[in-house]
Parts: sequence; structure tokens; C-alpha cells
Amino acid sequence: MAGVKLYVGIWLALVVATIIEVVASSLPGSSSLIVTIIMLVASAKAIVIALYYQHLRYEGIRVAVMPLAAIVALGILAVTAIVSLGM
Amino acid sequence: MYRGFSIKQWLTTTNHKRVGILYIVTSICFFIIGGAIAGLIRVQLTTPSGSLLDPFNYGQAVTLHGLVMILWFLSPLAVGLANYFVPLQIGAKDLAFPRLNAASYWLYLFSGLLLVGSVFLPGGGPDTGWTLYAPLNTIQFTPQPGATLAALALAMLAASVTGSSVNFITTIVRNRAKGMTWSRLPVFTWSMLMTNALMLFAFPPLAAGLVMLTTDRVLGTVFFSSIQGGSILWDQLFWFFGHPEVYIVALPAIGIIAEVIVTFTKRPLFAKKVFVAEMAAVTFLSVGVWVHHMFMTGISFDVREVFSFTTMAISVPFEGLVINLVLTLRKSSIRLTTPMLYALGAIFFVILGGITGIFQAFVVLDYAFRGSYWVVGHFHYVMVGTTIFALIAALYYWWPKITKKTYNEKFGKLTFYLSFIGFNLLYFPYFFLLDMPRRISAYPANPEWVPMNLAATIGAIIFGPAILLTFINLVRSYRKGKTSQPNPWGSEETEWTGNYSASAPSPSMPMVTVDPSNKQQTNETSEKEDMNGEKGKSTFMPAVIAAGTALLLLGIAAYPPVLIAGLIVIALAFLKVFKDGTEEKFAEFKETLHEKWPAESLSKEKLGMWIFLTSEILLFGSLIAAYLYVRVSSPTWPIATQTHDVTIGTANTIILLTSSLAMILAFYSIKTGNSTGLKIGLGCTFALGLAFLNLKLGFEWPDLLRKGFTIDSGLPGSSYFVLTGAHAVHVAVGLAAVGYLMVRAFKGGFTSEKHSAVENIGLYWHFVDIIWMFLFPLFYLI
Repeated sequence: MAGVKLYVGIWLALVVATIIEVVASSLPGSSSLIVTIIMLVASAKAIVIALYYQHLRYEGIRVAVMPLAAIVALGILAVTAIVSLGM
Repeated sequence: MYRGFSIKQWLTTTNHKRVGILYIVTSICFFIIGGAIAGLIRVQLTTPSGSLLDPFNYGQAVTLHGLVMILWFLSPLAVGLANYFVPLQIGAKDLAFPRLNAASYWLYLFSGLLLVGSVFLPGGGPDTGWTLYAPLNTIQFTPQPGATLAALALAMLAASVTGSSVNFITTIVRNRAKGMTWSRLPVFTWSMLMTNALMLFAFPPLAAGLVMLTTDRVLGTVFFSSIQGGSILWDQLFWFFGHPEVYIVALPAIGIIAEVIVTFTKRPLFAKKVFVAEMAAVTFLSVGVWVHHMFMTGISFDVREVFSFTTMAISVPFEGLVINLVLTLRKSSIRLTTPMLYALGAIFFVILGGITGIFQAFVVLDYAFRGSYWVVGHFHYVMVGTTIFALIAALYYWWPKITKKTYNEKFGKLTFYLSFIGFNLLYFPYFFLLDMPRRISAYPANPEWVPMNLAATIGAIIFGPAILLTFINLVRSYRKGKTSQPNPWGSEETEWTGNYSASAPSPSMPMVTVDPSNKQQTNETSEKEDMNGEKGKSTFMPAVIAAGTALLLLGIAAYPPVLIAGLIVIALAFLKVFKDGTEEKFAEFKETLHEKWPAESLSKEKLGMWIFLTSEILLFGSLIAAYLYVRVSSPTWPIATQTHDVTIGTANTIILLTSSLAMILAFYSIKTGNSTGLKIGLGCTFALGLAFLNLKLGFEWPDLLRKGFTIDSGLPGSSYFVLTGAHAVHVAVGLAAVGYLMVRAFKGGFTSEKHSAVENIGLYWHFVDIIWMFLFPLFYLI
């Protein structure tokens, strides 16, 4: 079982990641690259919260399989909807 | 069957059998309503210029018929049967969450009352067809409040279904009796596991669409009235739900047919493992075929090609299921009882319905058939022929188990023959009406359609009464029938024998003759035990919460003062629920974990919360997908950093992250026996949640509104306020839950051994935090 130090350390990392996102949003350069970086950081933050604060790291795949399947289904929905625009 | 139960006991019950009976009776009532409306439609179409219904009323009739039959009859009847029989089949004492089960039922009942009641509001109800297509569903084209109420009724039903899915999946995964391994799980229970998994995945996208539709109609958002959102966005969300719904309806039917055939052929189900694998394949593939309902829209041809392939692909495992059923019949000595006749009829219809459906998989053929009576015939063969016949088979098959009474076999067979003839005469002519469009109320220029319509009406005159006779036969047997033996069919299935041990013949496996007079050695509770068990478990709160929700939704749609009344009722009911919780009035009944995989060291509460969070991921994910869709399809979009205050967004992000830290430290504290740390942690979480809402609703939103960035100012405003608003509602719900934990903590309700509520509400709180991790960059940074 994780301890207080780990939880506080994760919180610090999440705050730092938030600051990185904000800084990245104000950088000049390719907007698609910046968007990619920001969304990757956002996804990493979500994964860290799920793994440590929601204890998915300790629950294993038997619990993670449900939210993962939901994310895959959503991916299919979002990609299909956007690709169907034919843009 | 519970003679002597008072109305109060029915209103307060949480027992799975009684809730199951409530579902069965209520769904049949909705069936009679939907059937009566179908009768009106048939009368109208018998002649080319029918005058019974004007076009608006005809539109209402078609809409209500579709919605009631699919969503308030077919699925709920299967859920009712599952409520009664899944715990018996797997050897569980009840569903995992009995009060949630009761709440699911009452939400279902009241949502149906709202839907049917919508036609009585000034201006009438929805007349859009059951698909509620956009932009027809917007206030511009369907201004009547009844259409808003119908959308909200659907959303309420989605809440009911979600609760039901959480309950069934948790129960089947975790509460199986000793010996009830996955390989021994009865086929009907397998089918309900798949069905509930599908419901869990299909309904949240519909709920997301309904949230946007309601805000369009009530608050002036522009999701479905704008060119960038509009019809295609609705189509994507609706059919992502709508096509899996076909399998949500069909899979329980397949499970029932298998159970009945195994019993009345005394043969094992042919290749049971393959059968289960085919059901799983249908379940997975069914979320990947929805676009075939959109072949005639202007979407990319490449996407249409892909979904043409997936639609053909899903027919492979589905037809595999039918082949398994047919091969089970081969060389068996069939007992042609009433349930068996209905099951055989259902197999005949699924073959015909399947064959006529495969044409829709081809883009070019779909161009010809879409919107015609061919399609109406096809889906009635699947939905009515297959599913209703299977459900009636189940009612006859399990009636002696439910009522302890024997029905009239000759009368039962007569109802089957009449139903079979009437059904085919009613729906087969539709295949000859290839050029007759759906949803037209008159066809004066096409008298050549009269003969087939006349034949269909004659079929309806036979089919409708035949179904009513079925119900009369069953009710009559309940009142006057002979007492049934405990296992009148000599079945080896576990709901009849109660034998779950591994040494017993596996369900659906080779069987020996059973003495029907054998006393059951079962985990099943007796009627007397059910009645006694109600004491201490019964509660009005599920019914009160559902009634309050109905008032709230009626207020939103049509009568604002009623909204206040609904909120008060809900608030008082939840205060009572929280009070009961803090006093631990409903001591949890502990189901011993017998069959461990995959639930070892996983409490039913935690498993249930994760299943619920899965539905929440799909709800928010669908809203986010809709946001991405309208943003990508919009030629311009305001620069985020110029519209929104990044400082406030960043501050709120850090506040939420800190609240998550406080929550996890609260959990860690109580886990290590530190109740002071728990109180401090919960207090900090609550304060930080309040600070988040205050910053958002007290400062940020008023500032945006002052600048003219309003909910009805365009897609950027609509999507921002709806997504962050939905998130704020979740934070508020989380705050109420944390407040409940605080009260319980201050009363000393948690210890290092007993703290599952802290963990599970914590999971929800962190989920709300995770959603913000995506909303923050999407709205404030990019």
C-alpha cells in the first residue's frame, strides 16, 4: 500500500504537469504539435490519478478492463464521427 | 405468489423476485398500451385515406409505439425475468444491491408514465418517430413541451438501465454459489451478462445526446440546430445506442430459447462454449455496426464501406447462435409443449428476420430499402417475432416456478397457433410493400398498396387478441389453475433443481431423468422467508426518489413550479437515505464469495462503483466526442486563451488536484486507524470542492456572460457551458456524498476495518477530477 509521501509526490507531479500544459499553450510554433503535447500531458495526468489515487495499479486488469473498454468504444465513436465528415 | 402482500409491501419491496414481478407486470401494461397504438396505426392504413388519425396524431402514434415497445416493454420484460431467475440460476440470495434494484424499477415505471403522459401536455407529445432525428427534434420544428418531456423520460430510463446494469454485472460476477463456475453458468444468465454489458455501453451515449437535446430545447444551445452539429451528430450518438439496442433485445431472447430447447429436448445445448463465444462476439461487434443506419446520409464513403463489412461480419456469430439451436434439436425427442412451440416459432422468425436484414448491410441495397415497409417487416420479424415469442415462451416456461400453478396447455397451444398465423399475416405482406414509405399516414395516390395493408390488418386482428388470450390464460391459471409440481418439466437447470455443486450435471449438459416430485435443495428463499426478509429491508425511498425525479423532469419540460417540488422531494428522500446510511439501518447482507475468479479481494461495492464509473466515462466521453466533432466541423473557433481566463482555469485545476490529494489521504488515514486524519481529509476535500464550484459559478460564469459568451451564443458557448455544467453537477453530487461521509465519520462510523464507503466515494471523486483533466486543456488551453 502506498504511503503519504507517494501521494504528496504524485500531487506535486500533477501540479507541475499542469504548469507545463499552461506554459506549452503559450509557446509559439506548430499548433498541432502544441495540442498534441498538451493532450498527452493531460492523458498522463489522468492515468496517474487512476493508477495511484484510484488504486488501479493495485487492482490489476480485472478492474481496469471495464474503463479501458469504455475508452476504446469512445475512441471508435469519436474517430468514426470525425472521419465520417470526410475532411 | 405473495398472496396477502399489501400495497405498502409492493411499494417498499427490495426483494428480487417481487421487483421482478413488478417489472413483468408493468412491462406487459406498457405492451398493451403500445399494442393498442399499433392497432390505431393499422386501422389508419387499412384504407388509402384513413381518417382516424391526422398526420400529427399519426406521427405521435408511430413515435410512441416504437419507444414504448422497444424500451418500455421488450427489454424491461427480459429484465423482469432476469430479476427473478438470474439469482436463482446462480444461487445468489438476491441481486447485489437490492435498494438500487428497486430504484431502477421505479425510475423505469415513472419514466414510462412521463413518456405516455407527454401526449397529454398542451400541443401533444413527440411526433418525430422513435429515432427523434435532428433537426426535426429541435424546438423550431417540434415546439411542443411534450417532446421535451419525452426526451427527459428517455434520459430517466437511461438512469434506470445504468443502475440495473451495475446490479446484474456485479451479481453475476461476484455472487455465484459454490460450484457455479463460469463454465457451468446457465445460458440465460450468460445472455443477461452480455445484455447488461451492452446496456452499460449503449445508453450513456444516448444520455449524452439527450442532455444536449434537452439543453437545445430548454436553454437555447445549438448542438442540433446548427449546421456543424445537426443531424449527423444526433445520428452518430443515437445509433451508437440504437443498433446495440437490437442485440439488447435479442440476446435475452436467444438465452431463453436455448433454456427452453434444452429442457424440452432433454439434450445438452450443442457446443455450449461456442454458443457463449458467439454471444460474446455479437456483443463486441454490435458496438461497431451503427453507421449502417446512416448509409443514406452524406458521410464519407470510406466509412460506409467499413461499416458495410462490420455489418456483414456480425451476422456470422449471430447465425452461428441459430445453428447451435437448430443442431440441438437434431435427432432429439422434442416435447411440443406451449413454451417449446413459442421457442420454435422464435427460431423460425429469427431466421427470416436475419435473412431480410442482411440486405441492409450493402450500401446500394440499403439505398433501395431504407425507409420502406421492407425494413418495417424486417425489424418486426426480429423484434416481435423473435423476441416476443421467446419472451412468451419464457413466461409459459417459468410460470409454474413463479406462481406454483399449472397453466392450461391446450389453451396455451391454441394461443401459439393463433399468434403464429396472425403474426405472419400481419408482417409478411410488408415485404411486398417495397415502395411504400414508412411513417406516412395516407396513400391516396397508391391504391395498389391496399391489398397488402388489408392483409396486414386482418393479421393484426388475429395476432393482437391471440396475445391477449395468452395473458388471459396465464392470469386464469394463477387464479384457478392446479398446483404445479416443483419441477414440472423435469428440468436439470439450476433454477429448478437448486443444485449448484460441481458434482451435479452441468446446466445445459447431458442429463438424467429427474423425479419432478423431488424436493428442491436450493439456495432459493421461500415465500415466507421473502415476506419475513422484507422486514428491515423494505423502504419507500426508491419509489419516492423516482417520483421526485419525475416531478423534476415534468417541471423542466413544462411546469417550472413543479420543478421546485421535485427538487424538494428528491432532497428530502436523499436526506433520509443518508440518515439511514449513517445509522447503518440497512445492514449489508454479506454474500460469501464462493467462486473467486475474477472478484477475489474485490468487494461488491467497489466492483459496482467501477462498473458505474465505466458508464460515467462513456457519458462524459460522448459529450467530449460531440465537442470534438462540432469543433472539427466548424470553420472557425474562438482562441481559447482569449475567451477563457487561464488563471481561473489553472487555479481550479490545482484546487481539484488538491481535493483529490485530501481525499486519498482521508482514505489512507482511516485505513491505518487514524479517524482524526479521516475527518481532516474529508473536511479539506469538501472545502476545496466548494471552492471549485464557487470560483466557477460565482466568478467565472458571470464574467463570461457579461462578455456575451452565453450558452445560446453558438457552438463554443453551448459546448463550454454544457460540458463544464455537467461536470459541476458531478462535483455537487460528489460534495453531497463527501458531506455524508463527514457526518458518518463524526459519528464514529468508520474504522480501519470498515471504511468501504470512503474508498468508493473516493473513487467517484477522483473520477470527477480526471474528467476535469481533459476539460481544462480542451476549453482553456487549445
